[in-house]
Amino acid sequence: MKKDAAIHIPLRYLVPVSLVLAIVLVLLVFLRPKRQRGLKLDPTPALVEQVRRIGELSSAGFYEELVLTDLDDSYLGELNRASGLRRFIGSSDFVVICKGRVRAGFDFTKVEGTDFSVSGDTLRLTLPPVEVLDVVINPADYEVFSGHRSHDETVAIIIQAKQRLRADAIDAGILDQAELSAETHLKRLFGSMGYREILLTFSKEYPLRPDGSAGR
Amino acid sequence: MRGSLHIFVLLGLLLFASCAPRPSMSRQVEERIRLLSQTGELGTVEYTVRKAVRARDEGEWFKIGNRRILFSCTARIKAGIDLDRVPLDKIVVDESRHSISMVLPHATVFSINIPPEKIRLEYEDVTGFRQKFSDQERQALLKQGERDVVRVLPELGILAEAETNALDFFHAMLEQMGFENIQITFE
Repeated sequence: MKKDAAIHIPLRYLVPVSLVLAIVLVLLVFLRPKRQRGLKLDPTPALVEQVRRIGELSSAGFYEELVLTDLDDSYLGELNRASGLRRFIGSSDFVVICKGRVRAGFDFTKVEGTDFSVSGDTLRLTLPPVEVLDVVINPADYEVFSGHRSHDETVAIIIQAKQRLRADAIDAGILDQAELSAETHLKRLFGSMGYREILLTFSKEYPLRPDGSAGR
Repeated sequence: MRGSLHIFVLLGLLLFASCAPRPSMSRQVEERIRLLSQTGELGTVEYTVRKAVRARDEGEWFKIGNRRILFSCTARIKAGIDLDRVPLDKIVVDESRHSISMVLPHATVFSINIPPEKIRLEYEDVTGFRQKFSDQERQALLKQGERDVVRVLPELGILAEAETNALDFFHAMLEQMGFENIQITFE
């Protein structure tokens, strides 16, 4: 009996209270500030810091897609993984899918006067050592598939991906490909200028592998 | 009593499972697609561009608090001449007059490199009951920053600079080859 009395609202109050609530709701929904809300990017200028004259012949490219998994190696992460609990409570591992590009070729600013000579219809050119010119994984090139890491941790993972990308490109033969391609391009260009014999020599000082060993 | 026994058995199983061998690497990398290609890109200029990526999130009207974030990043952009597009049939040599005329294609941007180590989180401010920026949100902001750099490239004058440097490059090379009258145009 007492409970019934407590929830009883006189009918004469019900209509005004409902009206007030409805008016408050309308005010909140329609009369809220009209400015655009949500995540907004402020316009900022791009400032040119340096302009550098280069002379690079990029004669080979390598493209690769990688899936990186940064395992949660904390005690709880291990327990989660080993016990099978991840099926129920989810995983704290971090998975990134990224695609990267490597460019390889020759830095022509290293060509010296003695590396280039012309005699009749014979042209001799000694090219500098072939090298990796760029390893590129930009923000638009990777995507967080699952998990959470801080900005610095994500940067460290992408740097590791770049090292792997560079090593994979060298293993796939990008340096040999760059030499072959440069030979084709330069012989075609110089041949069109009237040279019948084009003697190209490649310097053989190959860069070190990421693990420190010499070779291509 | 039986309930306690179940808990002990469960804890024992979890402890046993946690003794499983640890992976040798905390990070695993798996490659999916590989592609090796030939190119003929003569890069003649490199621009280093700095860009701030600044965003704010005032939230919906029912959310209390704001979020702000500021990144700074550096992009290295290379541009030059694509040798595959040089019309070889338009190279005209006159040996008696030591003259040559050739046509080069207009310059293009070859690579935009934003090294991850050059992307710095300068400032992050979260107030009220808001959550920190998620990985996906940070990623989306950086992608937008990259798109902004690409969008302003024509205004930076990099293509004109690349063509000027390409002219100098070819002039120097052709002079060394013995040509005295050199005419190079862009088409």
